Amino acid sequence: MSHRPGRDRDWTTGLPDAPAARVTGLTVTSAAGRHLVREAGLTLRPGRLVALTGPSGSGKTTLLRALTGLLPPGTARTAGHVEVLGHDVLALPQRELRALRRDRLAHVGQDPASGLNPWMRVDSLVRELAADRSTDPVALLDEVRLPDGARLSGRRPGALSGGQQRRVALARALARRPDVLLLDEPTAGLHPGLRDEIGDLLQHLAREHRLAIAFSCHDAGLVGRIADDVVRLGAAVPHRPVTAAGRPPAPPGAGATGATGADGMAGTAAAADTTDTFDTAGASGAAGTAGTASKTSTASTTGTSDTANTTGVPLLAVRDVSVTFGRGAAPVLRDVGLAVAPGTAVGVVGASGCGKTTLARVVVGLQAVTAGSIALDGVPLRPGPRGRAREQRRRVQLVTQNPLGALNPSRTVGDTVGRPLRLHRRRPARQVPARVTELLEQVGLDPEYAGRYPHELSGGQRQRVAVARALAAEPDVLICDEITSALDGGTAEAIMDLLGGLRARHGPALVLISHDLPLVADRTDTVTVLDAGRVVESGRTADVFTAPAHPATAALLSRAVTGR
Amino acid sequence: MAGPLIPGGAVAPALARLGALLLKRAALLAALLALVFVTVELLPGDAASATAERGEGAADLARRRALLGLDRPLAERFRHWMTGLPAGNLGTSAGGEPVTSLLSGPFPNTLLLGGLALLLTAVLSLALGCRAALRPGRALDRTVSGTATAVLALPEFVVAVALVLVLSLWTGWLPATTATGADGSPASWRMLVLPVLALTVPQTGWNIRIVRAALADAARAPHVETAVLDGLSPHRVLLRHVLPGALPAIATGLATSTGMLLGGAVVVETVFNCPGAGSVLASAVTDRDGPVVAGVTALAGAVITVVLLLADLVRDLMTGGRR
Repeated sequence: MSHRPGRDRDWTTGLPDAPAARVTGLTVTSAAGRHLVREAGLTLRPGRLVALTGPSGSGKTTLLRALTGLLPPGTARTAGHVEVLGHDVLALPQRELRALRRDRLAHVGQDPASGLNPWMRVDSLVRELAADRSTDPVALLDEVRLPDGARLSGRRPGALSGGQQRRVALARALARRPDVLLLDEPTAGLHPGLRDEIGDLLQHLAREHRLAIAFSCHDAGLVGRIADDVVRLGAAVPHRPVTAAGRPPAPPGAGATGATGADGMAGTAAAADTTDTFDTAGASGAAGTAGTASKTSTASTTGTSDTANTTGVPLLAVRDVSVTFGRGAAPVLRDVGLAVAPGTAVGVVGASGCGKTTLARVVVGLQAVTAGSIALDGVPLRPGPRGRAREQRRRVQLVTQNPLGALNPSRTVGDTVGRPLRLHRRRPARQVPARVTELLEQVGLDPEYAGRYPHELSGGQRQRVAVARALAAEPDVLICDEITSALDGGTAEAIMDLLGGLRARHGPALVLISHDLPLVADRTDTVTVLDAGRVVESGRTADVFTAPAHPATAALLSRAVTGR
Repeated sequence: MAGPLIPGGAVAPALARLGALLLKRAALLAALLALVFVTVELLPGDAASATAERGEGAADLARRRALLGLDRPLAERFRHWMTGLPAGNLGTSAGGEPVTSLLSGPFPNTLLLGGLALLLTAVLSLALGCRAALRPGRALDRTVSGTATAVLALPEFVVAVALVLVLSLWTGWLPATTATGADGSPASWRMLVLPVLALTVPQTGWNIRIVRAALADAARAPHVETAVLDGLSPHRVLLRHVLPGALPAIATGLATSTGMLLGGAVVVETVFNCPGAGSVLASAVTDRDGPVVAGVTALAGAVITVVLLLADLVRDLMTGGRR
């Protein structure tokens, strides 16, 4: 793709690195009067990558949205200025704002799955925003490291994996050849190899095509490697681990974040405005903490792995399942098997697009199969969207990759979590509110959140609600499909520790679907490796990861090592 | 990497599903027809007495009953009538004429009237609903939504009378009644304008509200916000990103209107003296002519079933795109 490197910019005044965008003293307040962003500052310059970091709920998404001139519904700017390419975007007339967005300012949201029109094919999605008619969608897909773009360009978003959707969204953003690129968590949900590729791509776009890029990211390693400037939002909130009892000392990310977080943020933001880099120290520090956390959890899971081998009949057995989307298409899953013994944790790993999510959907009965069977406790489950008994559905719960899509926008958190309690008759009606409180505390949310709606929560908080809802049904098998991909390191660890703690107390068996190999390696007893819809390897986690027998496993492992 | 699939592999289940669906609809239609037979039977009097001429004695009536088969039990008559259906035989009317030939002239007229009205309803409600949705809360939106509610509450005959009053009696632009040509259809297209309008106006009111609500609903999808942030024009956002999500609801609304249009046709054809199935139906009910009533119902039911299937097809296509 050819960005115009030396193209005239009417907003420049001759200076090569005049700011492309500048945010000063921005405060954004919700309708309820909570500060989502307080006195934030940010400067974007052509050719530079600015990373926004901070725990989930610290205002990263809101700050990026402010740069597009459209704040999330129900929020308003109460102070400060946002200037993009010489325009005050929060005061720009609609027509000019539209032209600015259409030609020069691209925004890629946090949740690419819901951001893509499900009725349009990939090539029209990309071509819709192309700068000129000659733009070749396949070339753009290639540029965003989406292999096999020619084949995928005829598909609709629903037939793509989460990682593929993310790259299509990026290709769509780049199609207009923007000057400013805003990315909300561009690498969440991608496996380490791909994460680095996207990181390199962003760096390439900034350096070679003089784009001004801002991206929010909770991956300290990536931020340290590619960012030129770092703006830390709400960094003052320390991570508090969730104890085995599931009761955090104080709920992180609650109302307190607004106050403490914003104070720390104002300071660092100002610093970022003047200093060019202060990345590596913070980044390596965070990576170090993540490392120790991993080690401790390894120790905690070894105890349970013995029980895994003593059981006879698997709790959940998937046999020879094949799935094909549409006529004449290549199968997404081919003869896939999976066995989960009671109380164990099973990992499913594989590169983006290998069929991990499809497998999860098959198990819970959301996806019809073309062949194969699924059994729970030896009793066959109907392999399709219909005909499972309520009790069978209750026993297998799914937490998805995309928490916003999975939560009903018109229900409060309390209603959402309370519903399974009623539907599956887990608690008498009058005990439901108390149990909801208990569940919210268990996943590290303030019980006060029961009155809020999903759009008032951050990505990480939504995922906690989704976990609480799944736990409310008291399942025997809990399937977690990339549930930590949208969470920052600390929150992800806390959620995983919570699940591990539940399992230790005779909680559900876990199926962890992830591209994050260390996460799977530390917390599972057995692991199944998928590649292009086939099981290429499975066995005890330790054996598979220490002596990978298949090149795909080896490739995943080597990426994990270099990616960290 | 994929082995070649048998081409028929995916088609056969789709056909089987369609077949099952058609069977279900046919069973529903049969149940409806049974209900029609029972209802006509429950009306006081029967075809023999309703068409009796002055001075006919009880013996004449009994003879006519035997001739028309009215002395046989209802279930048997219904079975007899139903067995003729697959062959296209709708039975015999009380006047001794085959129902098919009785309806072959008027029914196409009603279909033309209803079809034109449905087309006009679809165009008007989509155009006005989309215009209103482009600028929510503005003058046009408020006018359209308000008028739609008012119009929705008007029965067809009120609209018909008002139209005749204004466009025919006061201005004299259009004929108030329909003259029939040699082939039994209206003599001029101008005679169709007022009946079509009388049918369209109430249905448009109803459908604008559906279009408006369906578009507002579909506009809440996250990908619509993405399209707005991508700087696409409001027209493009509406047509490419919002409308596809609203189509299933809109199609279902229009399909529902088909039933109401056919029902409204009875009234409108009477008011404008149009030669259609509506007037045939009205006189058949007066004559307690079960086979004719059931015949009109069967044809109308078949039309509505086809339209509903089309609406389901739209929905399937739209939701199929999501998978």
